[in-house]
Amino acid sequence: MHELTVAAQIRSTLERELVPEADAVAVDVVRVQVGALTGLVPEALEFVWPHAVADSSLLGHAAIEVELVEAAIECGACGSTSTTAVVRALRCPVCRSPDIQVVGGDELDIVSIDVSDRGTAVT
Amino acid sequence: MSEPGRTPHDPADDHQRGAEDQRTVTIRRRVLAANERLAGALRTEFASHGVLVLNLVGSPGSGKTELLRRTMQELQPGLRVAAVTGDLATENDATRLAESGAPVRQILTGTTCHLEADMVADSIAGWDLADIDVLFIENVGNMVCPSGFDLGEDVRVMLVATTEGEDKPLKYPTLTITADVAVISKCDLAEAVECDVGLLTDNLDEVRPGIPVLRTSARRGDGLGEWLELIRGRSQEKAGAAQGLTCTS
Repeated sequence: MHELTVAAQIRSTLERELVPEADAVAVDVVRVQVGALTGLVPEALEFVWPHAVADSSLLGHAAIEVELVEAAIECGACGSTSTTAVVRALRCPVCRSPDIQVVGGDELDIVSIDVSDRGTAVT
Repeated sequence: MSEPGRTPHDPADDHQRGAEDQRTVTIRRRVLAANERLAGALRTEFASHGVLVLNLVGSPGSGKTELLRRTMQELQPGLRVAAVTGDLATENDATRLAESGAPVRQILTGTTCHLEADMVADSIAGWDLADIDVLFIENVGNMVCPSGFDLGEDVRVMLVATTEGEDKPLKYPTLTITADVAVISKCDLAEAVECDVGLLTDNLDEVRPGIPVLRTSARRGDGLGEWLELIRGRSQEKAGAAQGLTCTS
């Protein structure tokens, strides 16, 4: 459910800003990073993407590649650094201390697109 | 993307690809940048008028509207309150909240399962923020999607009803992690539904260490005093900061 909302936001960002800036007529691939803190599931985003762009002339044939970015939890109590794909609590996964710093993991970024300048792919 | 073993001028390539010119454009853009910008603008606007803003988030039926109705009744006339409430359909919540006599607007989201900053901005258009001390935003009933959308609020309040089970905070860590205050609602029903309120409190603290947890019953009045004091205190701080802004500018 949330992933469909995000897919719609990616679509509108691309259509309104990024594709015009790139001066392209069609997008073939969209690469996205989602961080562990967002709670988003990459597979779910990939699943809903075709439905979110089905009626888009710019993005109707674009594939999406979603990369999960882990969060790093640095613990001030035990000194450990843990990386995790899912943040279940604001505590150190090793010693449970709340004295932590979370580095990264809040990404929800469009990182690159493959675009076509003339016509669309004939397959 | 060029394939290995092919040169860029391979005629076969032209045939297959319809003579198009394909390239990769590197970008780094936050998907929710537009919402984040607008939420930031709203926050600045609220701060300049000293308006305290609370965003209430919880599942459908967690008791957001009833808590808010009582809260708005109790805070007046000491504080000038207003509310916007989001739902997919019906104006029922706005009608209930309007019983408090305060300005209330309904946001109808259609199919959208959460509120976004532009919906809040549109909804409060025409209100003079100088006439409001506390603005409540009642989000669409949902424990997933609202967590990703900043609305310019000062306090994100997470509601969990005793009827929902003790493990709700563990099941929805993303919302719990982003909440500033937790309200356990329907404490009058805890015994009937065999909810261990202590365990629910521990689970909130497990996911979000140190989060203030208020145990309430809007119907019976439990815990409302503490909740109202929290709002009054934060409102006073916000208004004081706004006066500071005026004096130094």
